[in-house]
Amino acid sequence: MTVKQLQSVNGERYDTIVDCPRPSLVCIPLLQHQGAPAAVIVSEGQQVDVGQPLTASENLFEVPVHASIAGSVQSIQSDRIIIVDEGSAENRSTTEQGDITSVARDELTGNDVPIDRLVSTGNNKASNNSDRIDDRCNNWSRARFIEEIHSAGLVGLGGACYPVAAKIDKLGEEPADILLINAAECDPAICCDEALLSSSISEIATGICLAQLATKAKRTIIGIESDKTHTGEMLLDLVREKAESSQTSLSTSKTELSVVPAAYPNGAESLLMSLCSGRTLSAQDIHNSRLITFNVGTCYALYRALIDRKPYTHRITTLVDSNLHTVNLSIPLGTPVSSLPGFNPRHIVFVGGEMMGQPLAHNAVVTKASSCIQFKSQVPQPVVRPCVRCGLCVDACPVNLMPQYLLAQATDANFSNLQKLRLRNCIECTCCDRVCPSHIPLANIFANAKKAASIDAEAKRQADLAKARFEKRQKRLETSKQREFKKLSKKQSKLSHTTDGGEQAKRRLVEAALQRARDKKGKQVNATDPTNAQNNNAQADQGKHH
Amino acid sequence: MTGIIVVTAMALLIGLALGYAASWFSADRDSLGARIDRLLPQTQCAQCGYPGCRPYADAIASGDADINQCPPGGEAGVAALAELLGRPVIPLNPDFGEVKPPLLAVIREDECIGCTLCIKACPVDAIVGAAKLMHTVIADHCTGCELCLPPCPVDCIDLVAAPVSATAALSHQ
Repeated sequence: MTVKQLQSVNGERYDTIVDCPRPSLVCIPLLQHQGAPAAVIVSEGQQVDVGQPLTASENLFEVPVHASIAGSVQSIQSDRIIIVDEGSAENRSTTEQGDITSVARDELTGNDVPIDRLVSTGNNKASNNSDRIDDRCNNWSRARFIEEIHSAGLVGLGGACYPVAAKIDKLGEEPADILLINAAECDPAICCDEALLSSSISEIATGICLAQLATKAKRTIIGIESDKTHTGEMLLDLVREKAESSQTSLSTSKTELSVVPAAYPNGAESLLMSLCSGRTLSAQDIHNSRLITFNVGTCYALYRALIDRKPYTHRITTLVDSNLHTVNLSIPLGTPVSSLPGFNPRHIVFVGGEMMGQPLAHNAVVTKASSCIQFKSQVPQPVVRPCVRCGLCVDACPVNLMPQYLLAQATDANFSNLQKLRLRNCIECTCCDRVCPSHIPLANIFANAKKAASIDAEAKRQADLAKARFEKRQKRLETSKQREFKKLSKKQSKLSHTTDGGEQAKRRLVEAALQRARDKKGKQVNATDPTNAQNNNAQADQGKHH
Repeated sequence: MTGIIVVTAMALLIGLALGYAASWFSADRDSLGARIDRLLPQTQCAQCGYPGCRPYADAIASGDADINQCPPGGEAGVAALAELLGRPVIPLNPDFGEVKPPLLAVIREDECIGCTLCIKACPVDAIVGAAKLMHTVIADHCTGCELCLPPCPVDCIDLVAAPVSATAALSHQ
């Protein structure tokens, strides 16, 4: 089955989302987000259903993953869980175990899966979802939202995969200043958000309302590109309608539409936020303020998680085959790339769009981050030459960096200079790569430099911390030593500086101690008789004076 | 009379300025020992034969120690020291230990008897606990120096590979 076949059945490519042929095996990576993997809660051989959590954690940066197909857990490895569908397992007996690629390819050729249309166009099924918001999420506290979102395994689907629950938790109890709904999909190859908007706009509108409730946003901006203005207006109307008809506190937050030029890379979070809010903001500024961005795909996932109670198990991915046929598929997470329609072992696989796509191994799988998968029969391999300092990259950079200087510092691994040149603001959009006459893979170099810089910064932080703690300890040991010394010398001076000489002073001290002991004994004997208490005290005083 | 007042005022002002300058631009920040110290990994493991990184840095500065006595710094550390001091790069001296990946001490808590010996041994105060109560290692503060291992009477401390923390993984985005 090829992508073209899928297309011919489903008509217009952007408006529909097609159910991916169900794989007989999925390999679910435990880490599909920014953070750390959560702890595995299933065992090998266990039967799992679609949506059953495979991992769990209280930590918001340890997002759980869920089974995307029903079947049994074949194996649990340190970084992935493999689930096999029992029904089709018999066909597999001839292929060797463990090699995902060969297993899946065999399945693909041996199985002729009929193509079902998963989602029809959204407008005719605009059920009264606002009532369901009232049923489900009315009066939910922020903690409740965070808990539900975390357990559904939601991550930002714009590409960065930042845990959604952590994003909301970062606000504390404060309302978000701006909630930006990112509907601007700028990469020329990716159209999964566009397909989602045309097929499930009502659900997305409900998702936006949920996001408003969870973040208590003061202002909501829907950012969309100028060629999709009509869709944006429709979405805005739907959101306002739902907010009015629901009984929640939604009407207080203002929703507006912001149309941005349809040009790459205006869909990048920092650029879109800058364009919509009218302020120049870097990714760091956004991270440090109460501005929050949700992709439309994330809003749809919010709707599925909170209203339908379905955790995140299927990624909507744009699939582009080697003939540039495009289709939007709803793919179970963990589906091997090799079992996708249109796969050919001779092809080179890329994950990500036309601009930022990165090559992928043939045994890789679809994850929460796979917004687009491309099969290419060949990739031009230009010869990289040294930088000629033409400055074209400086003009091309959308965030006003100086890539040629950054390149020089990145080659030297000079992290302090890279920080001065604001390397962290680089959005890795590859605009500089495209204009470079020497074909230097600048964005890739910057991405690696960013990683190296963060490792270096972390090592520095640890070293400074250790140094500070070591110095504090040294100081403490020094003072306690001095205190001990002072104490000892005081005692010594007490003994030696008496007029009668050391011997007598010692005897007097011993006598005083003995007297104190006697008093104590007498007190214990007389403790039951209150009339004697005063007498005792007087005796004790005498003893002291003596 | 005016002369005396002017001179006194000037003396006071200059004295104050100098006093502040002494504390703001402390001589120690630019001393050779401090500059060497900044290149050391600050594990405070004492493998070099000195009680901490700063004492070792001072020993290098005074010429008492060589630059190849710090296994946690590795070859890269030696190279950095060689560049700062204008000396040739030499291989690490194996007498002072071998290069290991970053480590983290973990106490097997059900076996800990609460003797406080490891707390006293830790150079960066990364172990918390009280007498006859369980001790534990603060992972973020532990430098993996191994100094807590020898004093433990029940051998309940393990060294594991230091995990990459979630915050560290996040910070490069």
